[in-house]
Amino acid sequence: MNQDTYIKLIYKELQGALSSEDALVLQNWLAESEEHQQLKESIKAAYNLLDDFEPPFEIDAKADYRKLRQQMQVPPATPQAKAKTVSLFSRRRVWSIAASVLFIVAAAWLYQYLQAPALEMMVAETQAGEIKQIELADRSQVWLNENSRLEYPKQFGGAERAVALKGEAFFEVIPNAQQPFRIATEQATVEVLGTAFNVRAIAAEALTSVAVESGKVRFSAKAIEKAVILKKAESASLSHDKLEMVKIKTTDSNASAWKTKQLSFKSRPLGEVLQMMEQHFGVQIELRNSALRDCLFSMPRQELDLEQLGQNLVILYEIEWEKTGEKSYLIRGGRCE
Amino acid sequence: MNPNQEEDRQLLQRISAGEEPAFQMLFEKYYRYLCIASYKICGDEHKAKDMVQEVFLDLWKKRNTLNIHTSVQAFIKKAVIFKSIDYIRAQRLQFEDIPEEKETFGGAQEKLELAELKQLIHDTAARLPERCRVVFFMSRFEKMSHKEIAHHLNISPKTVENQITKALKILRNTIQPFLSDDLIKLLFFILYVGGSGFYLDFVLNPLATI
Repeated sequence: MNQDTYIKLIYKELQGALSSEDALVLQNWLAESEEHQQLKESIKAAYNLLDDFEPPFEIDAKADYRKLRQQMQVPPATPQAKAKTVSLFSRRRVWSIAASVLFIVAAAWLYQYLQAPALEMMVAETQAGEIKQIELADRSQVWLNENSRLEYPKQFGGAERAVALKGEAFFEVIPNAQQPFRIATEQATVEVLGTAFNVRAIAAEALTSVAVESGKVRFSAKAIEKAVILKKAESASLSHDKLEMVKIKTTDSNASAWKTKQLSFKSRPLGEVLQMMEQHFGVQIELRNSALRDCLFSMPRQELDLEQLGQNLVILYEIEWEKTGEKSYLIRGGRCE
Repeated sequence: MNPNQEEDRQLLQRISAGEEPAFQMLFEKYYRYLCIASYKICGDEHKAKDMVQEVFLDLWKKRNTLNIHTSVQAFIKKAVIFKSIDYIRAQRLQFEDIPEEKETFGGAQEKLELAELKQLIHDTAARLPERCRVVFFMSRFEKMSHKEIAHHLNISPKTVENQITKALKILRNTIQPFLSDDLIKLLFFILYVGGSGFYLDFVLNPLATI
């Protein structure tokens, strides 16, 4: 705890705002031990290395100007329609590689259609703790989570690409408007318009959920007249008992975390964060101090192992993070505001 | 006024007259710089780009009534920064007032090249818990005082201090396993003396005549 005082002084020095009395205090503390000097050196290094900080993404000024220009020319009456057109257009650009596959697929499909062969069905199944990646005939990729089953044809023929899913899978579908991709689960149908998304249809949960990473899907219930179109960062759940479909906009849906191995949280109550951690890492986390349950936590999307996440929580909430068993942890003390 | 400001001033005059090519030039000149500035505060690539574009759009819409007396660059940047801060406030991130405990990061004791170390620190900084990142970046990059940050984000200066300290600790924990004495000396000379090999040669070989 003492350390904090000196870290503040070190920072002040780096900002050039250290008074002479404080400078003396800092000097004395540094003289006390090698460790203190090392602490200062590492903070100084981290601080200075940030000098020309650059964001982890590309910036294309010319392209973005073209986008902006559209808004300058268009009269205020129809900004929505224009935006939609633009986004579809640019999505086609992004999928240029997939588009070339699209032509191959379309050609192959046309051939299949004309031939009208009987569909030979394949089955992929996973056991507990197993994840399988499957490539479909049209080069679409499916990651099957544990205890799941996917039925799919060896070759896609006919007016659509149809597969059946029990359990959970993450799909990356090659776009093909001529031959829509359809996933049948027990209670729902997911129709795909070229995209990446997660489908969760585990019978025991009495819930079917779809979370979209990119692109668009049409999620419809079989038993009732309910359907919803989902875009990027949107997800929806169909409850089997109440036959209700609920749509949520969530940029921190960790629905695909089992596949991407990345977690993100946006102002989530800590209670929920811990639940997600338990699920994701397959551990039990006991939270002694229930007051912490409502602390809001935010963290950008990244891959972290459990220990790193635990240590971050220790720093943020002054908790004690203890490993109490092979797969169990205990959180004691701490507070949020 | 320096030549750059003079150039901007001329662009602005042409923009006021409705010349779109001048507007495009201004946009392409500062877009990257402003997106980076916005990103440092809001931490979201798309949001940052959107907000910068909104500021420019606003500038274009109001081109007839623009009245910028100081540096155009500073004016636009300020607009972007405040917009980013407003966005962050709207996110209603929760801020706490707590110091903390020990760190037990066991990184592998490999040696890292300077470039790799830099990348590591940049990545860690970009991924700091949101509250820490916002406050720390406002202080470190925008050079805002604790008082200013406290005012903008509606928190106490003490919280500002604590968030900065936390950020420094997390960054320090990341970098510490990889810092060797040589690396520290290297960093010192590159960052303080000047980033050219010339100085490096001098340091490493003091007998060389320059």
